[in-house]
Amino acid sequence: MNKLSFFSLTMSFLSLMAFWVIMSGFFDFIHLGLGVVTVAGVMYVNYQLKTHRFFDDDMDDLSEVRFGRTVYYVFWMVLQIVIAGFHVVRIIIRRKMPIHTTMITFRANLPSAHAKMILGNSISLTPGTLTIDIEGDLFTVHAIDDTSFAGIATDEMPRQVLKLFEKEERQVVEDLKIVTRTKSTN
Amino acid sequence: MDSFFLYSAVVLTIIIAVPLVRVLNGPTLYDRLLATNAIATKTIVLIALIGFLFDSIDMFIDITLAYAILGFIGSLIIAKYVSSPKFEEK
Amino acid sequence: MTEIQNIISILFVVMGIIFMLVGSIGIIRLPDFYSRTHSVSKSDTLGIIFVIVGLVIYEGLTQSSFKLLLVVLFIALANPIGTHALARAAYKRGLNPFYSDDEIDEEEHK
Repeated sequence: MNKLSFFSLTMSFLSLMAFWVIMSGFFDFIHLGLGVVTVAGVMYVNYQLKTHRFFDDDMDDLSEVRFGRTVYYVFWMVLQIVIAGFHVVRIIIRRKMPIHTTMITFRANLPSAHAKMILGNSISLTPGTLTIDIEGDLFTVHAIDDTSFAGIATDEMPRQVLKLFEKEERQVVEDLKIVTRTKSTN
Repeated sequence: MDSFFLYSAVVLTIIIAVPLVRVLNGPTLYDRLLATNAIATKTIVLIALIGFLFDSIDMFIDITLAYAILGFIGSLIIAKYVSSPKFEEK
Repeated sequence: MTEIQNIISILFVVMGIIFMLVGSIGIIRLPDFYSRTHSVSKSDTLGIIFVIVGLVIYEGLTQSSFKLLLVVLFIALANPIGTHALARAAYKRGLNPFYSDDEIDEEEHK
C-alpha cells in the first residue's frame, strides 16, 4: 500500500473538475460548489483503487511521467493514426489484397506496467500492427503484411514510449521472434 | 446544411447495415462479435448526426457519451466472458 | 466565414464516411479474423474521428463541441482496447490465423 503524492492528488482533482465543468456548463457558485463536493466524494471512493497494486511493477506516482514529452507524443500519435487509416484503406481497396499476416513475439524492457499499457495501445494504433497479448513483458503482436512490423523491429516506436518515462535511451525490444504458424491443423 | 446531414445519416445507416452480413454468416463466434462491435461504434456517430439534424445536439450529445461508454464496457465484458474457461463453444 | 466553415466540415464528414465505408467493406472482404480486427480498429477509428471533428468545426466553440471532443478522445482510446480484448479472447481460445495463400484461394472459389 503506497500513498499518493500531493502532486498526483492535485492533478486528479483538476482533471475531474475540468470534466465536471465541461459536462455541466454552469459557472455560478452553487454548481461549482456541488462539483467540488462530488469530486471529493469520487476521489474518496476511488482512493483504495488508486493505491492498490495490481501488478508488481505498477507505476507508483504520476510524477514519473515527463509532461513536456507527452505533448509531442500525442501529436506523433495522431499522425500515426492517420497514416494507419490510409494504410489499411490502401490494402482493402486493391483487387488482390496484398496481405501476408505474421505473428511476432518480443520482450519489452520498460520500467512500469503503465508503460507497457501505453506501448500496447500505441502498437494497436500504428499502421498494420495489433497487440494480441501481453504477459509479463512478453508481447504478442499480429502484423498484416511483411513490412508493417519494421517500426517495432528497428526499435523506433517503443523508444518513443520509453522517452515518456526516462531520459536516457536504450534498447527496448529484445529477442524478437517471428512465429509463422502454418495452416491450422485442427 | 440540414439536407446534407439527412443524406449523410441515410448513407451511414446503409454502411452500418453492411457488417450484418458478417454477423449472420461469420465462420467463428469471434467474427460475429467483432461485427457487432463495429456496428456499435458506428452508431455513436449516427446518434450525433441525428442530433445535428434535429438541431438539439446539446441533448443528444449526452446520449452519445452514455452510449459510447455502455458499448465499450459491454464489448469488454463479453470478450472477458468468452475467454474464461467456464464458457463452452457450441 | 460560415460558408468556409460549412465547406470544411462537409469535407471532413464525407472523408470520415468514406473511411467507415472502407472499414465495413474490409470486414466482409478480409480473409481471416485477425485481419478483420485491423479493419475495425484502424479504419473505423479514423473515420469516426474525422466525422466528429467535422461536426465540431460546424458547431464552433460551444459547450457541445467540447463534449464532442471528449467523445473523440474516448473513442481513440476505447476502440483499439475493445478489438484487442476480442483478439486476445480468440487467441486464448486457440483460434489459429492462417497464412498460406492457397487457403485464401479456396475460400474465394467456394
